[in-house]
Amino acid sequence: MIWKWLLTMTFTFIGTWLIAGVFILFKPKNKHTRWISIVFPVLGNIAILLFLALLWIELERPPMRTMAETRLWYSLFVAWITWSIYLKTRSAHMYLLGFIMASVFLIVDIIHPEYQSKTLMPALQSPWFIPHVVIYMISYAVLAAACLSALIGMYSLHKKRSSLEKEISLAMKLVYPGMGLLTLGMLMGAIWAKIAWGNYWTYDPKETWALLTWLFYLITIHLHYAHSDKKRLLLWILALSFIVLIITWMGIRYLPSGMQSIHVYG
Amino acid sequence: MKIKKAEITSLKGSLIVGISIFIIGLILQLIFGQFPYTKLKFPVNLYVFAEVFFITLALWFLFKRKTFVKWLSSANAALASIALFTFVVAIIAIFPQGSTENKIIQFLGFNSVIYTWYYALAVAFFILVLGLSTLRRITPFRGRNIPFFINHFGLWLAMTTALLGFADKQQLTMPVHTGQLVWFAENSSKEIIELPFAIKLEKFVTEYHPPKMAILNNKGEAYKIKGDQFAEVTENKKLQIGSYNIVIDHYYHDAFFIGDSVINRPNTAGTTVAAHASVFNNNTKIAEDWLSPGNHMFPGKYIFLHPDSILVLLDPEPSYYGSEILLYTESGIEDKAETISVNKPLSAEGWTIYQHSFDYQYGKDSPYSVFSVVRDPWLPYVYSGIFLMMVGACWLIFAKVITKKTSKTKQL
Repeated sequence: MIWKWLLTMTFTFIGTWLIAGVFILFKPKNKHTRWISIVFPVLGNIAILLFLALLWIELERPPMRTMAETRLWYSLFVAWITWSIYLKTRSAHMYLLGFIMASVFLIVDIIHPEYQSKTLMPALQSPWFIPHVVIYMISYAVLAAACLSALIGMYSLHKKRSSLEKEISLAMKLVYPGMGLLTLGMLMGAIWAKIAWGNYWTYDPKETWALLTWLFYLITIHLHYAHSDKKRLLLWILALSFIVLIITWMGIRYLPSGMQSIHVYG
Repeated sequence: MKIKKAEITSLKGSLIVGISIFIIGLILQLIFGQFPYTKLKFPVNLYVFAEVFFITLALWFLFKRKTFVKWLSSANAALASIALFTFVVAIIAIFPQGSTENKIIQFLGFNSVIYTWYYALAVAFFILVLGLSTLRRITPFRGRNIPFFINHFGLWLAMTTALLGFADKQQLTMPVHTGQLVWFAENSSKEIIELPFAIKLEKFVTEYHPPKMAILNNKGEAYKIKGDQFAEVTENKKLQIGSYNIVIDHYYHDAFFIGDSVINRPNTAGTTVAAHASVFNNNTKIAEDWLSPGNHMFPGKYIFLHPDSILVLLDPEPSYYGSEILLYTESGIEDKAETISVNKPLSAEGWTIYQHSFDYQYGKDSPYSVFSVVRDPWLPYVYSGIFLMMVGACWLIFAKVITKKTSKTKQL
């Protein structure tokens, strides 16, 4: 039972990131300790990766069916992506927010360990299953980082500290690949749906919300293109787009329109 | 009326245009009711496609210096059209689609948005703006605008052909009994439609995952308890659900009941799954018996743990179902053996045949298999658009962020 190791894995992740975080926050002068802030988070990330690999082996199917399983992938990608951004920009805010976000999703899994079954209904047995879910999870993680950058921007605005140039530029650098991945994930889903059910688009609630998410990021890109001076508006649209994304991912089952969705799983 | 340049380049102007189109659509909806989508059948849809294509070209090449056309091809118009479409999609996302008792929602068309005038107008505006902005970027043609073209034209092609092909798409239901030869199917209005192919069902095959064990209350709902609630049952397995320890010493995937005895008989009609379980509470054995979800031949077998709770095996879930068929077509294919299963459809004479369902009550003994047969003549064009969009998406992953200021293209 790999799930029994979830708590250990989460503590490993939180522990390694916290230790590195202390070094990032206090910036010790001693250069010999700098490697800790870079290497420790990697150990935490590998812990999640290892957990997922073992889960895959144990379940004898890709661990991508239930909400709990998709949250693990999400934490994994958020952790790797925000760590990479930290390496590049040395933004302690990004490190902190990425750490909080990845940890929250792991902790949610500890609180809601949905039952773990080997069953995979025939419609999910498809070569499209893995790329569809993995690409979506990477895109969600990249767009989460974009949202975090927007939140940092809002914080700076509140403190009247910056021109927002840095935050918006980083957010948009993330929105472009995020949007590319979102498009790929959605279109792969459409092709798969055609092969499984004969329809590539039926406005199923999950599809509708996925389209809505995609359209919000489409607005973000065009707004930034045409009105890059409207920074405040951009920050709000970035945050709002991410809220729509989260509803698409986790909120469908709670919506009146979501009752008949083919995508309510787990 | 003279439009000031400042007005049309502002976001406010875009917003006003978007809202106006929605209101016009809503008024048309209230006057005429549903948008007559079904009239857009071949060849009408082909004419409409040609009109859309040539009107867009004509607008651009004849009137590109007019403020109106300049605006329609601008990023502001793009924002207006995306925002309007987003708003309409948001209505679909919030209101459940389908029949409703609520008269106001019905009147506004919020329960069947894709058949409304405002949806049609929003999409038409979107496609027009998309077409014009694509033309604006590729005339004169520059190599660096290729990714823009692929993204925008791909979306244009996919959306236009998907919408105009909608009325031409046929999706029929085709139930076939084992041994029967069938060459017709039923549409959603229960009309029989003759097909250019025939199917003879040789054998319907299902495979099941092992069943799951659960403790249910007297309403048949599962308790939320810790442990192995919903764990799969296999031979020699020890489970713990709440305070109960359960030892399974026998598991039969093809169980047959004769009186009080149970035997395993694979490849036999009428068999079901069964497990022999001993239940312990605080190390005391409280029960020992056979468990089975039952089927059309045998009643279910449970263990009462308490007047309010029973230990059960749940109906096993299918891991595979498919049909072994012989295919006959008008173009001369005769008794060609094929297998159709979920995610593995079969194409014949321009139709695609999908495994749809079976008689769930009879499960693996289902006397028939239900196919869904689909004909979608516009699909290749939609797929071409989707393919372009995927190529464009791959480019976007590695693209540089651009703004009007950084882009060297001449703008309004």
